[in-house]
Amino acid sequence: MVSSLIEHEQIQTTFPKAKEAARLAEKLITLGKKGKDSNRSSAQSFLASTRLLPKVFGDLAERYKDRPGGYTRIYKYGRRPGDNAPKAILELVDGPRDTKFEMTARKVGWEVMGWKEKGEHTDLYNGVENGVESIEVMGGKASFLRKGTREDVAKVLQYRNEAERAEFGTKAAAYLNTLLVEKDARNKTRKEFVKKLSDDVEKKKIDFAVQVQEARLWRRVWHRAPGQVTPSSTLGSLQLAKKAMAKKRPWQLEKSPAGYSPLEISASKRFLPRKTIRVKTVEVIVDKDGERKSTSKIEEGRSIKEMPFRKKALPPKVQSALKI
Amino acid sequence: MASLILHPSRVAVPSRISVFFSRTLPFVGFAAPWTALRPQLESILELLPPWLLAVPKKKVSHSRKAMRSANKGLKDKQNIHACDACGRAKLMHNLCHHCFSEIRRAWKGPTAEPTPNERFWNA
Repeated sequence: MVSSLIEHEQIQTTFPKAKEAARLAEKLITLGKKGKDSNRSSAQSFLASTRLLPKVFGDLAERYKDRPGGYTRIYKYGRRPGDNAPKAILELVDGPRDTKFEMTARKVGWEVMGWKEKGEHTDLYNGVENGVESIEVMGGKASFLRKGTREDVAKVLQYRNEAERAEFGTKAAAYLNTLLVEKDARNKTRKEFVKKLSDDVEKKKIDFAVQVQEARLWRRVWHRAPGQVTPSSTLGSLQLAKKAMAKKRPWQLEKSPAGYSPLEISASKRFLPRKTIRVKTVEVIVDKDGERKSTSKIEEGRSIKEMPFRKKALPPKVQSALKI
Repeated sequence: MASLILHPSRVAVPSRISVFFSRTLPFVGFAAPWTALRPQLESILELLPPWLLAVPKKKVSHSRKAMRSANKGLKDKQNIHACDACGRAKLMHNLCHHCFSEIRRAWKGPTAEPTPNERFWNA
């Protein structure tokens, strides 16, 4: 299985097999990176064919020379029909068959389409309706992407050269263009775009068989897949079905102030006492004559500001959240 | 009691006690192979009256049958989300089938005819 992975760069198998094969494949690639004769003979004893040796010790060693491990990726891919076995896609990272590279490019294209539909960030991608050649994702423009997409972009482009980074931009743009084409298809009635297809057949740009095929494709695009959301929607169909638009409970209405995540706010609240705390401070003043005068006052409070005896300093994030 | 085992045809109406004893005898130091006892056991079963065997009394009604299978229904899948790339439904933590199949088709090579995307932008 490891030999198949090295040969094809991507294989489909069951999830437990993929996990085990990934382990072995990564160890084999580490051998390839070491490159000595003894390593070569060890790899030869492991691989199914000697014709894969130059790939392991040449291409893969070069590809992963900067990467400290983690040369494979496993994707879960549903279940097999016959025996309900959990399927997985096992692939070599940074290769020609890198699913994450393609998927992240698509995600970027989808997000930019979402901006276009909502009318956000118009300054970033002007003239998106006329087709885009490339989407720039590094630097300032990437900061407007969603957190998950941004992280995926960083991961995918980390060990890639300039040419591959440019390719990423082109792929994202190509996907954005397909989304624009689909949107245009949905805006027309079926008569209109079938008419356009038949015009193309008359002009002998395409065959009639192609027209039939594409008419079917347009119909599928026009109707949308069941449960499919638009790039600009925030709620998925399942969330709507779970009554996301329904009346919310009090704790769900709580909004976090800008800049602080709900986790930080809840963490800061943990430091607050639940009940009121009474603090008795006693001041003892000794006069010249040796008389002692003591004054005491009792303070009640809920916040930490009113708890002067607290010695341990709070973490800086919590302090700033409570504005101490 | 030993005679019961050796000559089972003699028994006319078996009493419960006698049947019980004859069954337990093999276990009381009687070193005989179990294959030799099989015809005896079969005949004992024949001697058992029908009202001793478990059997449903009446056909289970439609409503009772339906009540029993009330909690045997298929459970809803809660782990469905929208794919970040195409918006279609996909299982959580899994690859989107539509996106992956499109990517794989693209890897297989460019098609002979221009794709709808190409024709739209090059019209």
